[in-house]
Amino acid sequence: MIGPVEVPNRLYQPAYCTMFGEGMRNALFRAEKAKGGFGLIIQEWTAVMRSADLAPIKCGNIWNLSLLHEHEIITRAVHKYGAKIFLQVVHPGERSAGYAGVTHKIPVPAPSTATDPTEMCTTKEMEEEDFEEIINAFAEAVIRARIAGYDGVQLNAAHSYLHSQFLSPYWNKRGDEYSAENYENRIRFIVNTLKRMREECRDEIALSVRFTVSWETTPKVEFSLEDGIECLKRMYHLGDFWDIDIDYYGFVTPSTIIDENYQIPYVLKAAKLVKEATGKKIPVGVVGFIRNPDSAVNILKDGIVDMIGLARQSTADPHWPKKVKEGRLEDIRECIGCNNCRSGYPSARPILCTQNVTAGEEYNGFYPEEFDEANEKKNILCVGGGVSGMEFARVAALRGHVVHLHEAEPELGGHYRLLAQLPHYSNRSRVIEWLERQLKKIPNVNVYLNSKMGIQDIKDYGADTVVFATGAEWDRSGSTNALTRREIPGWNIPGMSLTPPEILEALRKNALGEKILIAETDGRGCFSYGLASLLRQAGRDVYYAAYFSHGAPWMDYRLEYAHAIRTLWKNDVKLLFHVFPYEIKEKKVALMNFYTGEVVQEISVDHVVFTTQRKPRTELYKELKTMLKEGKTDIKEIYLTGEAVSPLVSAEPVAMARYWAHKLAREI
Amino acid sequence: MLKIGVCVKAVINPETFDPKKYKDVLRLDEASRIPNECDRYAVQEAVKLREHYGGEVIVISVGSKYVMETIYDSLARGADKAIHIDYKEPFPEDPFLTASLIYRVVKEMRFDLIMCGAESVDNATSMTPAILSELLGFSYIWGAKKIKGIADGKIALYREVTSSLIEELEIKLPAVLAVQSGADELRYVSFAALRAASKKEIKTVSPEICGAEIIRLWNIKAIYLPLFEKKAIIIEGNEEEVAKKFTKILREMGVF
Repeated sequence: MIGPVEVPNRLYQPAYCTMFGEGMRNALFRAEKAKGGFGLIIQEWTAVMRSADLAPIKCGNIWNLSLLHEHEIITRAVHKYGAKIFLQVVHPGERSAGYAGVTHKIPVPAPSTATDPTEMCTTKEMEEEDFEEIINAFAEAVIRARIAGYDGVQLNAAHSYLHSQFLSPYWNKRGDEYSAENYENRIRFIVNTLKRMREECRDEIALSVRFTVSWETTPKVEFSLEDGIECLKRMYHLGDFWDIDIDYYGFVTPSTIIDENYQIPYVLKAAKLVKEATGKKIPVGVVGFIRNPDSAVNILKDGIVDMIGLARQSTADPHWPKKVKEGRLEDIRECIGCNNCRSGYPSARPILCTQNVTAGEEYNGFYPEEFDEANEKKNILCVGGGVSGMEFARVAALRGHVVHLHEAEPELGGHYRLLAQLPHYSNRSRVIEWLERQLKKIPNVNVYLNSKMGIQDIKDYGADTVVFATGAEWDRSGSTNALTRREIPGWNIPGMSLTPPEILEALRKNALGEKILIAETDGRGCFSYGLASLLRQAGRDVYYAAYFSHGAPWMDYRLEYAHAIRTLWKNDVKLLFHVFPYEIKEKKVALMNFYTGEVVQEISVDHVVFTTQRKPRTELYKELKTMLKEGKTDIKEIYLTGEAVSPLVSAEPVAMARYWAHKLAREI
Repeated sequence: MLKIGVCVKAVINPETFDPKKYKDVLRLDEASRIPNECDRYAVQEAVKLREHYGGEVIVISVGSKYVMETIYDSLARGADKAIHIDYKEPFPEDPFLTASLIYRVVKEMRFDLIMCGAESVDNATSMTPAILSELLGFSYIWGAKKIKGIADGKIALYREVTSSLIEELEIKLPAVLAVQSGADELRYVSFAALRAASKKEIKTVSPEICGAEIIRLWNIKAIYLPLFEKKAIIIEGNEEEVAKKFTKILREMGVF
């Protein structure tokens, strides 16, 4: 029981943004988790007033009355499957300065006047009237949530949004009763908001609080676990359910390249203290990248918390609870923490999940566990067994087609398998393993390894339909660099320019030189970073020429950047910014500053590796397409899918390509 | 020109078999069946010989209609035709029965070579090829990995004796070979090959034709998962004491 509300089980989906907006898309996305067995859904971050708007569009909104019906669509969809749903209401304070301030042309309230270098505006120090206005807005939000059918509301007093900004002297320089001088003052705004919200809950709906209980990894905030516990002791009785997490270097959803299991022990330690502080009377829930069913069960059994939250994992597999219940652990798609989902947040693009490409596509009829049978069963030859090829084969076969999947390498997985061999990225292999397991289970898929198909093999195969998922390959000439889009002179000097697979091969054979330059113009990082780490581990001198002023910006969107750069600096990788290879010579590379146009440096290296954009492998596809046009084959239709269409179209490879392959399989 | 027979078995699929569903041993016929892996290698080696020396490859399989998928798989892999010994009743696992049925059908067919898989993944006796060779009076080798060639009425082949030793030998034809898996990568079976397979000849033969030459020696009474209690007895002492105590326990358990 959470307040007046009975929740069917102990698994909840904590609030997180999707950028889908209110309405059908969001509704079916959340409902899928209810269908999959989650007992409580906490609907995403929702702004309570204009000055609270956070992103250009599509973050949750309850101040716009015309969206009330859209909210109702969401609550109805979740209730249909027997789960409960709370609405998280927020004011971001200082963090909306960049958007709300400029778009709505109004001052953005915060504890103190402050300028964040990444935001476009400075904030306004809140006056008595602002406090009243904001608390009224929260009360209004509760009324609307109740009308729209939500079973509860959750105040976000966490994650460096307005209410949490009062907790730390970093944000709060006040001297009045809301100062950061003592605990009572720090929590006063939270307490007042909660009391007012409680009035409007009218004992009909529950009142929950999201709280970041420790900011120890971000020292400037000066808020320790002890501080968090002290605050909780003074206010826990005001909420029906405390949803706890911890900060990690400024984020609550660190990417797994940092440390996959960092959060769990820390969160549990915090949770234990929270439980003790709240006198074990009020339900407490935690989230912290818990994915393992055994861990979840043990955590609940030990009484450390009352509810377990699965956020990113619930995107990767909304049917996690059901599969655990039915003992089908091998069918669970485990979240890899790539943060591809989150990467769209700064530009308000909808989330996209590498493991579950149907996330957010339920409203288009793509349900993760349901497949329409094909009208006409076809014999399909799929050339290429990377992630896209495997996904295509899986979905097409589930719809009744007979699929023969041919892969030239001895193992499935393609480019992604290569990435998984690099440090920090080994958990990417889980994507491949899940697909391999599923393919083994589906009867009408035949997988052939070590099978490099030539044009004649394909022509003679006797398939009705041929799908090419041949992926993309690295370009040794550097011609895909974003600066000149031409080959770099000297690239064909023997032994100088190697592709990443060649680097790995040479390393294995102990035939790799001592100094290597990694030249990148692909702002998505990850490969360069992994390769640099691997080469340092192997004792090589590594130079890293990054195109962007500070390295790959898309790693920032995945919340990896700070950690990656920190690691590269600490491991003595020689970071070179604003430069790119101008000419390759024997054992030397000339680097040009692309702002000034001058050759600034010549470094002595044994090899250079271009981690620029890969080139799609389309020769077979094009050849067959020509034959099809000229009537020289019985094959009826051919398709190109996956990264062979366009490599790396999302923050991390594979996700979008896998979606394309999935969509093709649904429509074929 | 060679006449090669290949015996293929439709085995119970180990991935999907659930022993709890099959308390009655006779109902094993209803279990899902797949082609036996090393039988596929036998077919592939036979087809390679035919490609090199000319002739024909005939597959033979014993069992009721569940063998059809296996027969089509063999035909799609290049066998020319098939003989289905249609044992309509639930087929009792009995290598003597299997061998004698096949013997009766092939004895007049004058094969140069008969190839079988070395071991089936379900019953795993490895006996059928040996018994068949005895009945036919053919030479016999178990564990053939790869065939080198045929000349002067002899077949030269490789055999893997342990995981790292290879034996090269030759035996006189006619011969029965029990073939190991893993020689070369299995070739893929294209859609075109599968379609061609459905047009090839499959002759169905009833067991009655085998008459009095059928041998039945086995009688499986039950099949079950091993039963064991979770119990640990720790025996302490020096070697002699431990041996004595251990023997005593085994006697008490009725082991001997």
